[in-house]
Amino acid sequence: MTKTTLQNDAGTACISDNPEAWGPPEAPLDMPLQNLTPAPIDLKIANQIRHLLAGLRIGLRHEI
Amino acid sequence: MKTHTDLSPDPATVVARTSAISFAVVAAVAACLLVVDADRQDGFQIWDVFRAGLIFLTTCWLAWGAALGLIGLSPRHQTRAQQPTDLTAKSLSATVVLVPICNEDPIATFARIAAMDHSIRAAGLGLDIVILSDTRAEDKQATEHAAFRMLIAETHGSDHIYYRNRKDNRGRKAGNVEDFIVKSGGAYKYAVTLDADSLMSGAALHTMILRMDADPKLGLLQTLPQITGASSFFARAMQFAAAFHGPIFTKGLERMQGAVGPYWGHNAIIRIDAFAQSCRLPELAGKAPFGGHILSHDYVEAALLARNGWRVIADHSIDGSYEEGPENVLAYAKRDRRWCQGNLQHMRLLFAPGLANWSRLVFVQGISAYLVSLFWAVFLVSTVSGTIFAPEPDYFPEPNQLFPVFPSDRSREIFALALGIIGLLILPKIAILVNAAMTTRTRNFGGTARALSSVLFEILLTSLLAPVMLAYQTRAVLQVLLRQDGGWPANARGEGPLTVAEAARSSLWIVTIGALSLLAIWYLAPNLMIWLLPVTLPMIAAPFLISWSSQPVAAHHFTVPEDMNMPPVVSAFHAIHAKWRTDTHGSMSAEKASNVPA
Repeated sequence: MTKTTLQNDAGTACISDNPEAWGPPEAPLDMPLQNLTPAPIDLKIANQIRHLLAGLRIGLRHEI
Repeated sequence: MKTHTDLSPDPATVVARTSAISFAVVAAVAACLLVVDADRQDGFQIWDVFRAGLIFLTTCWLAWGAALGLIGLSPRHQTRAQQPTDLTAKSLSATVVLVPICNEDPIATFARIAAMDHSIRAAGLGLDIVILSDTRAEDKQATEHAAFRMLIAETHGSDHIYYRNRKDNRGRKAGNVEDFIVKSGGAYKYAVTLDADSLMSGAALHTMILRMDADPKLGLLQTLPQITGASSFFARAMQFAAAFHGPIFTKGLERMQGAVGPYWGHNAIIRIDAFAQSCRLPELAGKAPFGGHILSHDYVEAALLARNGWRVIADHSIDGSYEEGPENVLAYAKRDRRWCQGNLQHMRLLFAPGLANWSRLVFVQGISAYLVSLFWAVFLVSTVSGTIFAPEPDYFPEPNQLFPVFPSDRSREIFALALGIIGLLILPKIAILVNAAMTTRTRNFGGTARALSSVLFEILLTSLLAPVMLAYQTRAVLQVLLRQDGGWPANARGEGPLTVAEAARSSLWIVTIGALSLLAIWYLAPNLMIWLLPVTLPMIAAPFLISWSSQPVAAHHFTVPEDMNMPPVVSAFHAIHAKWRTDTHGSMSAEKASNVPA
């Protein structure tokens, strides 16, 4: 690791006067956003039933 | 990067899970039947179905907790998660210790870091330490800067100890760690995540790194931190319970978790590339408390690691992991309010795509831990109301009946129910005590007699405080359900004893509810008086209980292993902390601290 430091005799006890320079080394890493949204309920079956019921109702009306 | 690890539970895990679920359901059904039996005698109404449902849920939760303890006591088996590691090996894996802070006491926090750094060097490790500050106030930042200079002077660590202050506090602690990983995570293989009050020995860190090296599919390893530094009666009781009962309950959890274990947000090691690929959390749609940033991010991160096929393991057996706990009931309740909001927010995530079923169950457990207080409160209120509004007994239900029919006495059922509930609460603790006496574990707690006394006093204290805690938790749940955002304020660490007046200011509403309830019961349902005194009297005495339990006690009360043999990293922290406090004359000042020779 490298870092902006002011070296003293011991080599490690001094730091820059600027706190901005005290940070860790840069080594970017990709961090993709996660999906936590629940999948929408599959309405296929519900749609089929709705169509079926609608059809039946139409059929009944026709019969009536 | 998605791994293809088989996270399906092994047979031992399946047995443990099945046993716990069966035990909880059987106990809940038994409690439910007792309530139904008692209610049936004066006519079963829809109101009684509601009460039976509540007692089912609350008992189920209690029995689940008891099952964790009892499974933790069952004979040990070696799971895939607990493969032995050659602890004499040296790891070359680059590891960083992350210390996220926000408005903490920098003297105490940085003294802990100095103690850990000494311990890390003594263990022959070359770890970096990064302080990730989210503190915004400029005067507090200046104090942190001064304390950082003291830390560097103490450790000579400018080549491996870093400090950065984040300009944008988005995402709070999770966002703080995420910011580090995005900018600097590529430099390291593992990260140890800590809280400001965490302490870990170099040996513990070494063990964790070797465990990660030995298992390339291990995404996260969570240790069980022991509470240290407790001084009040309340805190020492909690510290004792964590040290004495905690490892057994955690062992039970380990046997049920399989490879889908928990993350408690600190005192854990993560594999950085796994975490980076799995754990960037989105903001939830809508406003707080249910929308916005995910507050209890740790549970979610554990679930997301498992979703991507990474193993997540908790291991109670790694020594040298410590944290501090709240010193009094009010600090505990304040922390609980945050956790309550965070856990209830998980309702939004129960159906997140791709999660392991066990992860969803963990969310349910976290939610239940708080909802159950509300259920207990509603159960108590409905029981009293049911008695008050019960129809007058009909002594002559049949026309021309010669002898009256007296309503049957429900005391037997109520007594059996109370006994069962108390049993679920106490039985695991007594079983742990017996086990500890038989295995000589009690030696670490001052001997069997002292451990027995500690267990009994801890049960007494928690029983006395239970109605007060119930009141605080119920209020917290109601506040969240009413969409009041409690925020995520910093912990009040190191808070001192409370006077009765200070305690009364935060508990007067509990006293009022307790006193009014007692009056109402005495006037309207006197036959319930004896049953509800254990609830109402502690509520009325709340200020005295809170104040009394916050007073300091001698170290021979609630003895824990650390009292008998203080770990070097803890004693090093105390020494450095005392020295720095003296150097700064009790109050940190940026000017004074910045004069420390660099």
